[in-house]
Amino acid sequence: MELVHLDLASGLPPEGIPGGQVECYVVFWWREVPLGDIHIRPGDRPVTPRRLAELAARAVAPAVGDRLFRSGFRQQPPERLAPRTDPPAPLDELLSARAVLERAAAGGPIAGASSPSTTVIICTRDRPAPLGRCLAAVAELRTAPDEVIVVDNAPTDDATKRVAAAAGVRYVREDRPGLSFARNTGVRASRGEVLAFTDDDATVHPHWLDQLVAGFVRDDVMSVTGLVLPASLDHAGQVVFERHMGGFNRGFRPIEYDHGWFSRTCPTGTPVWKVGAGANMALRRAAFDRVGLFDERLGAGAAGCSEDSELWYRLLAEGWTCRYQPTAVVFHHHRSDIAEVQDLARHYSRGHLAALFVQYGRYRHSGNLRRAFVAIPRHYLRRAASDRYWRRGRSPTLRAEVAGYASGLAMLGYAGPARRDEPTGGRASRRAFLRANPFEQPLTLGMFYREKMRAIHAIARPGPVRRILEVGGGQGGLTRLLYPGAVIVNADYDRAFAHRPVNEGAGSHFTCADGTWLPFRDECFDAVTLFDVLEHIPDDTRAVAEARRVLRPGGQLLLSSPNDAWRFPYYRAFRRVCPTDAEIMADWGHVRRGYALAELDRLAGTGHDAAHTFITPLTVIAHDVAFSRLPRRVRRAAGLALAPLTWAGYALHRPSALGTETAVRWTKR
Amino acid sequence: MTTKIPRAGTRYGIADIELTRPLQALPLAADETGVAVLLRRGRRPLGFFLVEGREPGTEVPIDELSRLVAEHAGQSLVDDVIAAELGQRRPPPQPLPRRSRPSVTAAICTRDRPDDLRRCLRSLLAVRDAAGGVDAFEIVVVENAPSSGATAAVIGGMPGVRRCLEPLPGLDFARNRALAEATGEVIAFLDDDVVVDAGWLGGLLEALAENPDAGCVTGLVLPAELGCEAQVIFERRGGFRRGCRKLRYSGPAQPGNPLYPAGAGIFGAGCNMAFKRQALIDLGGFDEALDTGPPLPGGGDLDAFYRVVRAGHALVYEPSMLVFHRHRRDLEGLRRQYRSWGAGMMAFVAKTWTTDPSQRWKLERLVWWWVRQQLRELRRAAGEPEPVLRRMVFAELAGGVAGLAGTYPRSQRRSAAIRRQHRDGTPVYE
Repeated sequence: MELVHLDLASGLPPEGIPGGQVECYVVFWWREVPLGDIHIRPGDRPVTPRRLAELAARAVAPAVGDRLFRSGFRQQPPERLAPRTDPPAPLDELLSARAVLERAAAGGPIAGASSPSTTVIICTRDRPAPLGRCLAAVAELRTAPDEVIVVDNAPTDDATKRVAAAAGVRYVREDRPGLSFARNTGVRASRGEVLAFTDDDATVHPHWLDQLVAGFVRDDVMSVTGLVLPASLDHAGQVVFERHMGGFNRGFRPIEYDHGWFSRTCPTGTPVWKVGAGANMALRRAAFDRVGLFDERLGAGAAGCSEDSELWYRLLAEGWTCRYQPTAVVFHHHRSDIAEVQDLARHYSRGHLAALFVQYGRYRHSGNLRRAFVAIPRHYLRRAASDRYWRRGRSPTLRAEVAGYASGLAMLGYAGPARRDEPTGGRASRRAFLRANPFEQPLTLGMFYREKMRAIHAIARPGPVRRILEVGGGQGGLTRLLYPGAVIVNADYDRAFAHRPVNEGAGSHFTCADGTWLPFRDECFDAVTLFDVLEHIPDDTRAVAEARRVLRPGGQLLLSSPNDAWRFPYYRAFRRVCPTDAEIMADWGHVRRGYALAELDRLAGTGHDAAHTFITPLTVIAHDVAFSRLPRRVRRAAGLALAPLTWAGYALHRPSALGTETAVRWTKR
Repeated sequence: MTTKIPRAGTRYGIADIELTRPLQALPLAADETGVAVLLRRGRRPLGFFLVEGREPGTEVPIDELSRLVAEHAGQSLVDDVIAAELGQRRPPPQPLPRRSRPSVTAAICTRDRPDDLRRCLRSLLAVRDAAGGVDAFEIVVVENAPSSGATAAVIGGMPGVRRCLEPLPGLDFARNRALAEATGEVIAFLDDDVVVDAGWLGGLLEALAENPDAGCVTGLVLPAELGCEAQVIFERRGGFRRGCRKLRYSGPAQPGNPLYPAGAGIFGAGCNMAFKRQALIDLGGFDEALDTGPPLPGGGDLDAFYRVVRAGHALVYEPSMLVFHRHRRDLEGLRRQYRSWGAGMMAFVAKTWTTDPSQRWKLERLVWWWVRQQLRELRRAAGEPEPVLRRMVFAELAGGVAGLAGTYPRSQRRSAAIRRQHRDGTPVYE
């Protein structure tokens, strides 16, 4: 097969594509930006210049449209029966579009707002010559990485070390053979915030690194993958790899694989390998902190492959986003020999199966087993039957793939027995939740907090919740206590809370953010909690609107705040020992007194599902004492003395009875 | 989106929207419940869609129309701009020899339909005048076994139109006559019930320039009117449309379409097709046993497309080579048309089975595919309260069964008999 790169900026060749006996693969660029490709069969050659213009236009139009218009050309992640959510582009813009190629590629996509420090990690094993070629390309990068690490995996001589030394890059040695071991060693040795991976049998485009970095368009994007093009198609094996194994090409438009896609495809086994290829990917360092390193049971040298896709699986399952950024280009030198490609196919299908087992073992998502035991065998059978029916001749890789599948079955053990302590994402039991009241003297003076927790527990939905945004969670960890198994993102204005234990545990993430300007995509959380926070925010309308924006349809919005009955102290008699309203509000940082329930409904834009008041006229006495100016010992004694009254108030309270604060739940429709 | 089939008396308007001009709301006449929209830019067709289920006398508001246009022609618009830009960006072409474009003959085969023929010829003459007068291309009308002098009178009133007579009744007799009488390097066949678009000739020449190896060019066929139920049903079921993108078929196989080239229905329609004349003559012209009128009034076009492609020529579909076809107005006529489609398709299969044994396995799979397709259509039609759609599907199925059950050999004998009756029995081409 012939491989042709055409730069549309310098015009199409005047002779078109000349005649020839072999298929021609044409990639269209606008200077540094890849825009589309076509295959020209030998029967269609020669291609006249006029027809080439027509074909080129059709090939690049989706990518050009995607870059020029806000909508109408978005590429959605692959999904059967996917609803089309992208409205068409505005007609006036479509009609007035001129000089589209120039504009679409104008300034390239080099628009990374931040410039994080970068590390390029290349894992290699006894291939000094290709490594040298790869390092030479890395040295040509327009944006030099802060660090380049070559991980030498179980070397038999020091050739790799010499190549690394000659290129002046860091050399790290990993003696346990296996790509995952090597990659993890690279991650541990690296210092950058963004870690970019490529393979020794690939060469990178000069804009590769800056484009990968530019792909981290939001905080929730944890992984960016790029376009992998064949470096040459001279040999039969390379053609087989591109044609029968699908190659690595995922198209010329960006794709965002998000949690929504993950949840919709999970029942049939999310096709995570479609996210990209390990030869061209970058991950935030934080990604490894949050979901762990590459699984060392997978990858070349172990099960075969899929160590990259299994990591994407974890990221997606935990609610993060993986982005495909086709402007980051890597040229891959496919194996030239058919036997080598068949070997690769065997490893791929074995590794894929092993990864399905690992994914099931980790998350108990039955879609993985469905894929392993139903979809894949069915796929092989159908392919064989269809090739036979259409007389296409036997696929050169099918036999190898089936053999790999068979050997992969031996790895069923990775699906492992279920761990009993596996978090389910459900609401904590009421008993366990109330017992965790963090207030001192939780049953007397701190009883009011138990009331709050009871109210919140009563309104929170029991169903499993995967990913929750806690706005202004501080160091309280109330949401963590409520949903022990969920992934919780705490968005708080005060950076000081970032390193409190509750924000650093497994599944907990802290983001420094303003509640009125949340750095998250639309509809990416299953629940949003605003516990005791709205009364602190001057622009409360906007804060609630933001919370609703990031909430997925059907998700719950939980809120607690003082209500319109709130005052301090509640009874005039306590004025002598208590600070005034104004003092206590200043002390607590409240910018308003409280909300009537109707006012909250108006802010939320919809009627509430459930509401529960707390701190009643009886229990408020102990509450006010707890915040009075009385000496600590007196307060404790008073709390004890008031206990029967407080308990009676607690026991007799009904959700809609008079209270000074309210917990409310809405569902986004 | 599925809208119920239109009720009797349904009329749709037809809007030809030029996108270089400002968009306007589309009014519906007092008896129209829908409108068919053709989108063009600079006369090049970019999209076609139906807006249905409207209250008569209302209008399609401009914002809804904009959204529909963007939805149906969004990518085509971008395609179009890029192709134009790339055309400009290309280095200027070498100066071409003066008479570089091939000479063209437009051939119309007609039989006792003087009114349709008049409209068709008028539109062709307009195209010819715009292209430089009488010498721009040749127009030949083949009168097929006429029963009166009405057709001759119509032709007599048109300047520079050649008339010739084919006494043997049968469309493919007439087409072969045209092939013999024409002088152009390229011969374009038109049915008498079409009206050609102003860009028709330009589209044909463009396709030939872009594809010098093309043996056949087919074009877009859109409705000339949707004035009654039969026409609306026909257009809703797909009509003759093959989309608004250029397509090219060549070689022994086509990726993504394992039925190619046996599934010849994708190539185009006989009411708007052009061939390199010599190539078609070398292949033996049209098969006169197909298209002989009842009982086998179809399949000659499919057979010609198939043989052209199998002979190694490229076949090109060019949307700019646009004609408007007046569909059957009566439901009985429409039913006969579907029947003839089924019969023609399967007669083509039966014929090719014997003439091209290496492709038998594809033909066999084509039959299975076709049956499944018809059953799917039947299931869809079964959901409709009106029986009319079911009748159409049944007609096509019955035609198909008849086509497989020996219609072709019978028709061969019949056409031989016609030939014996009228002449010394030698076909125009063998």
